[in-house]
Amino acid sequence: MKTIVKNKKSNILINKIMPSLMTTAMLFTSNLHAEQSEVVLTLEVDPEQCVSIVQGDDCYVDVKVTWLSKQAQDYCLFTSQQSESLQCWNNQTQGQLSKEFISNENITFYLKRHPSKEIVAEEVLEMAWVYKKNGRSHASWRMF
Amino acid sequence: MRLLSKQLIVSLLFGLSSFYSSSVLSDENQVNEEAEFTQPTQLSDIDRSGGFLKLGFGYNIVTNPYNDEENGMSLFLNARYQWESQVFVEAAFYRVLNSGINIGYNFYNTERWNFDLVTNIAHGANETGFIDQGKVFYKKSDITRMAALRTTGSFDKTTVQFVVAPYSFNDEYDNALYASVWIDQSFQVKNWELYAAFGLEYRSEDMLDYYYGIEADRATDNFKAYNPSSGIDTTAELGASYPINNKWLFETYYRYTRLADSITDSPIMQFASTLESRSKNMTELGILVSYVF
Repeated sequence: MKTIVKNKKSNILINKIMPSLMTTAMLFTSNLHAEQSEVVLTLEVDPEQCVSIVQGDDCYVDVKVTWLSKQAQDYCLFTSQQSESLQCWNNQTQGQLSKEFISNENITFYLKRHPSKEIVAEEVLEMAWVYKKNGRSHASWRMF
Repeated sequence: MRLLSKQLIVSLLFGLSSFYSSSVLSDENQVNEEAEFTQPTQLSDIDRSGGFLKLGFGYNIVTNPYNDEENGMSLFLNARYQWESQVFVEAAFYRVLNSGINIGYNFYNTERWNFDLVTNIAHGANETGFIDQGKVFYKKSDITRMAALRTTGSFDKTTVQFVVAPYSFNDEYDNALYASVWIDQSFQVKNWELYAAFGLEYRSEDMLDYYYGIEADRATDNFKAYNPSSGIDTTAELGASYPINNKWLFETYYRYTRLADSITDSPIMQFASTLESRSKNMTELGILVSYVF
């Protein structure tokens, strides 16, 4: 799970350090609100990785995308795979989408404010593989 | 006749190799005229150096006429390392026709084909002994390790391999010749990789006689003199792999080898296959978890 307040923050920051810095963070967030009209958002993609046998093969993965916002607004979910939105939510503080994805390259998920299309959160689904693609023999090849 | 059959099998293998090579190269030419990778060896020797190591642990069941059925937990190894000098060592025990540990020299490569001079185990060691009507029959045959010319073609999901081994390191008999062809086709179903492989192995008459023949002076009433002709074993293997993560694989395979008639017709093998826990032909089933380094 990652949070975007204009910049991404790490899980450690969110889960462990955040409580002790809550006051400071709230002030910081407030400042951002004031300065950038930004909203605290979390965007979670589960799983975070899809593994195929061979590099370059299509990877099949059932993905659950969840987002949360402190402020109800219109949001749309996009991916790097297509220009059209996957789904839009009107005046919501949270949303969820479950869908199978097929890809041989990383997929970036973007949550955009509607209709401005400003990216307010993003998360990457990484493609991984067991065997590196290599000219010799069948799949069984990983250089070391 | 013997010489003719050798010439035929060698011609057949080279013919198949040439045919397949030319047809694939033809495809390559069509596909790659713009990409300009029809020329040999785009990778340097340094690029080709490196290794692969996969260690597995799991369960397998092996039945054949040579030994009692073996089943239980087992280690599985699939490894290869090639130096910049193009010398390599490899060890593979499934999803290959010529299993075992071999060393070789990778002397020529094209974009799709690898040409190797490699050692090859053409037949394992045999030891047979029994008493029939008071007469002792005992025969011990050493392993036949050979020098082979091997070419392997890799085409996306298809691997084709031809082996011709004209030179034997076993000096207990002459005229050893081994040849094989192997084709492996994999398919992707979701994140599973399924594969089907098929192979033929030719062994010359003298080689099979060394292992399965019974000389007249050794023959008994139940084990009559036998002089096998050359023979071809047929092997089929089906398997599946699933990535647990980018290091670990779940794998399973089933392999069946139908031995040549000239082998199964041997009185020794006919007797052996009737023994408990043995079979006429060879099967192997493996279920394992592998770690890819």
